[in-house]
Amino acid sequence: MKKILSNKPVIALFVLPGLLVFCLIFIYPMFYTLNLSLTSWKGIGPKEYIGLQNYSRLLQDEVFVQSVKNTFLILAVAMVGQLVPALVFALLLSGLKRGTRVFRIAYFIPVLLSSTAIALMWERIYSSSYGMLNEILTLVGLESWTHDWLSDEATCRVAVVVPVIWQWIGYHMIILYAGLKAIPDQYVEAAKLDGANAVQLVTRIILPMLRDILKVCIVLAAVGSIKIFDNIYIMTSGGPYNMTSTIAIDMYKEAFLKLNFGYGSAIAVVLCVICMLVYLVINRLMAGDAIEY
Amino acid sequence: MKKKVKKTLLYLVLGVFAVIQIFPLIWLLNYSFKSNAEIYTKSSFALAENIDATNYIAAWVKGSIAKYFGNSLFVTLVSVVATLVLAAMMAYAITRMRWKFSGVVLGFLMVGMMIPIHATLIPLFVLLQKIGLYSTRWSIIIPYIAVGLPLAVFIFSNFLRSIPRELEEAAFIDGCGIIRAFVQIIVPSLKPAVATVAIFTFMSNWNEFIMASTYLQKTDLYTLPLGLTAFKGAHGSEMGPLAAAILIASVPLLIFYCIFSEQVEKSFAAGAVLK
Amino acid sequence: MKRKQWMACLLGGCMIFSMGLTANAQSEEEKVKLTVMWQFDSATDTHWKADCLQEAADALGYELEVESVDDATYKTKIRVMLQANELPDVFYTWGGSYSTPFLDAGMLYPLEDALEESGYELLDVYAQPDEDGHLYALPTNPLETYAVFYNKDVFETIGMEVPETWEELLAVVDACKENGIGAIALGNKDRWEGDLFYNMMVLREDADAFKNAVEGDGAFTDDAFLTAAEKVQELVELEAFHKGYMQAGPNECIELLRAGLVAMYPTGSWNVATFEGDENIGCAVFPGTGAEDPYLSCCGNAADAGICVSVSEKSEYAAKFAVEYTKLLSDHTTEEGERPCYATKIESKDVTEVRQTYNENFAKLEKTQLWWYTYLDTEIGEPMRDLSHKQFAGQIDAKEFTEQLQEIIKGE
Repeated sequence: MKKILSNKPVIALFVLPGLLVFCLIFIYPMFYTLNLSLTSWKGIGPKEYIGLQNYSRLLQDEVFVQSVKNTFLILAVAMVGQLVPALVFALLLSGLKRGTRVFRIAYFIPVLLSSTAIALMWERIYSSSYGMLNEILTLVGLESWTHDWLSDEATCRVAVVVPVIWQWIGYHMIILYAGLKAIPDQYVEAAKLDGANAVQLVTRIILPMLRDILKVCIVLAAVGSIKIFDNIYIMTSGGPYNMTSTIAIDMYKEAFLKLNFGYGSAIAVVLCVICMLVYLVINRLMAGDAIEY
Repeated sequence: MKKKVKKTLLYLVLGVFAVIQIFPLIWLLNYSFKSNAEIYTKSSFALAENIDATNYIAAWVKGSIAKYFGNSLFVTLVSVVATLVLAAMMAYAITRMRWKFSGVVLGFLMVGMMIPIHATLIPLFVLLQKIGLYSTRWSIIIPYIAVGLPLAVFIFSNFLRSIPRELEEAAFIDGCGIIRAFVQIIVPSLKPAVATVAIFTFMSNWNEFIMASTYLQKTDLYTLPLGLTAFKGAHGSEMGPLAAAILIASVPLLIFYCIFSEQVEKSFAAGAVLK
Repeated sequence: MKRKQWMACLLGGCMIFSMGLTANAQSEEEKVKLTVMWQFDSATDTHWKADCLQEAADALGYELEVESVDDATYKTKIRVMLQANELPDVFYTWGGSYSTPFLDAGMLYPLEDALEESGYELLDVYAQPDEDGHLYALPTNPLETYAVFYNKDVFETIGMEVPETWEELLAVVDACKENGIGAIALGNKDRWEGDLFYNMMVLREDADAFKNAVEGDGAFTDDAFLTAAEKVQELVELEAFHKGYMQAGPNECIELLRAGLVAMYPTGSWNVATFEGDENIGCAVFPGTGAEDPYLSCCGNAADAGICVSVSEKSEYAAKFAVEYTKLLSDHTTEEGERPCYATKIESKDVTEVRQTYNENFAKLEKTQLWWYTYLDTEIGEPMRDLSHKQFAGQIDAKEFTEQLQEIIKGE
């Protein structure tokens, strides 16, 4: 058995094609970007190496610092906003015996729409003239609550995250739902027999069993939130005056609009490092043995 | 009695949320029939004044939808199939076979998920030009495969863990080679995972914009998302046809999802997709 | 018998063969082949731009290989081609700081010789030579400047005339507010509409202010800039701009103006074509909010934007082509009411009122000031626009604004 399963040529056959494609598209560009981040290249002419100057410049760049702050704020809001409702609705859904299919399709539909569609819709919802949100507020008599949602400093950051949350709740919910369904019924029944109430059931039995899946969702949500680009860029281009700019948006502007490829690459590297750090933190916080039933 | 109230309340809450999720889609449909004047100067809730095909025809013609549809279909199908095959093989090798670097490879793939797409645009742009693939369909198919691999391998790996080893072991004892065992025994039992990966990958590739717009230069090769840019003129856009184009582009995806979700349904019932 | 037939065939064959040869030889006569790359949007660009390419080529006996791409793709691709040293023979430039990398690489071919040879007369405003005395681009568009479009019905309702001075502007703002109508529409979501507005306000105070400040004879903290900033601040505080202007786009402003929900929309002259079909929309010059005469100066696009020629063995031919092309284009569009770029006797056919007014106003201009953003390097332009955004959001007062402006542009 061992011999068959350690058949090297077959392993190579199975692994190498995919690995090759992957290295070509991700690993090679990453090194190229790393290299580029040490230059002052502007898209034309020879590349001049300037060591870590780009990175020290980042620390003093107001726009970058604001982008980092925004990114972490958005990360926090997006994660809580996506995962908590996803978990709650998955739990509620799993308690139903019939009709779950309709709900599941409905919840997943936003995930299928492109970011252009989402941004277009929500831009109109947030609009100050005849935008849906302000219209609803005025209708129910809360006119004083109307805002210029996307251009008001106070509301723009949260406003820009809401569409993302709205779109991805369904995604996480489906994954969590599948995980919930996979928990063998006997554990839940046994706990109920022991007199556990709903809260205890969730916190002591279900959540721990879901840990692996939860971790997947948390990592996906976290990394995804840090990398958000399309949605925000289409709605506000990072404005007003960089109040909704994220690290990804800053990188795009520096590299593709201002053609500061060297500097933009440094921002890209920082973005990757932050993603990895976040991943490591999540990994550490959710450490534990794999659960086998 | 209490139980019934609880149940209705439950359905109500779930129902309201479902409405919130779908409502914007219906609203987009209404929007797609409006003219710019209606969109900017009348209430969002107002029903479109002329429900006719003008915007849709404009969308079809200006967005060159017929042409781009074919491109999108080709690119997406090829990349989805390729991703499925490569990911299944890699997942099998990582979870079932014994070799030193299985963990490393998995880690590699996870790291790849951290890299933002924009950081790969310039190097790939230069590379594709050098190897002559620039502005061909393959210039986006290959990146799409790479982008889809990490999640696909992950889903397959998880699913494989729930397939008992006894299955292949029985085949090996009967004298089957690995490849045959893989193809004839493992793959058929991977169906729910295949459906899940297919949906996720199809969805992400169908709507992908950034790479397509950077690597495809000839308008003949444009995919549907790029067709949307035709509506963003230099000094103003026609929002109605844009919305119509978006809806037209979303239809295949919705159909694909409906078809494949059947498979995913079965796995939910069996309770074995993501353990 | 057989031999004769054989000979006849052979002779006939030789004749046909030699005819074929000579025919080939004739078609192998060298035809100059030029590569052209440009961005063409069939929705907004006039078809003449595309048609004249072939017309010019035919007139000169050249062959063309034309590549048409969209705006964003063009910008990336042309830079890549410059880097790879593979520029097309004829291509488009936006002028100003956009042309700098090409100039620095020595890849632009001077066109004044070809122009002189052709005998065509390029209008003064387009014939401004570059710093080194050469002309590098020929216009494909008449210069776009700024104007104010207004809704005639709204002005009737509030019973006022289109403002020509600062005081009149304030009066219109008050009247509009009383009637619940937005006074000035501004699509400031992407920052540039506000930026252009401020550029104009400064120009109205002192037409040479920007030029002096940039060249060091003045500073961005001078009176012209400060007064203009204070006036903008006043407008913001008076809520002169329409509701939600900070997140509105041009589309919204256009529709609001048409529907009579705003009184005026100050924007570029590219919108003349947009409003041509609207009977109730009129065109006027940007009000004289300062000391300068509103008819004599205006901000506008780069006068050195247009078709340029890359340096290669075919440069001379390409230069001739560029001249012929732009002249033909100018003639055709003039017939349809557009302003000519070359001196011409062609008269325009029926022209709409909006276009007529604009053309008349344009003809009175003596000086155009290039938009600051186009003039400056993007490195400076971007933070400047962010600052402008803050200004229009009312988040920064006039004095601090000018001080930061000085810092951003001059670095001190």
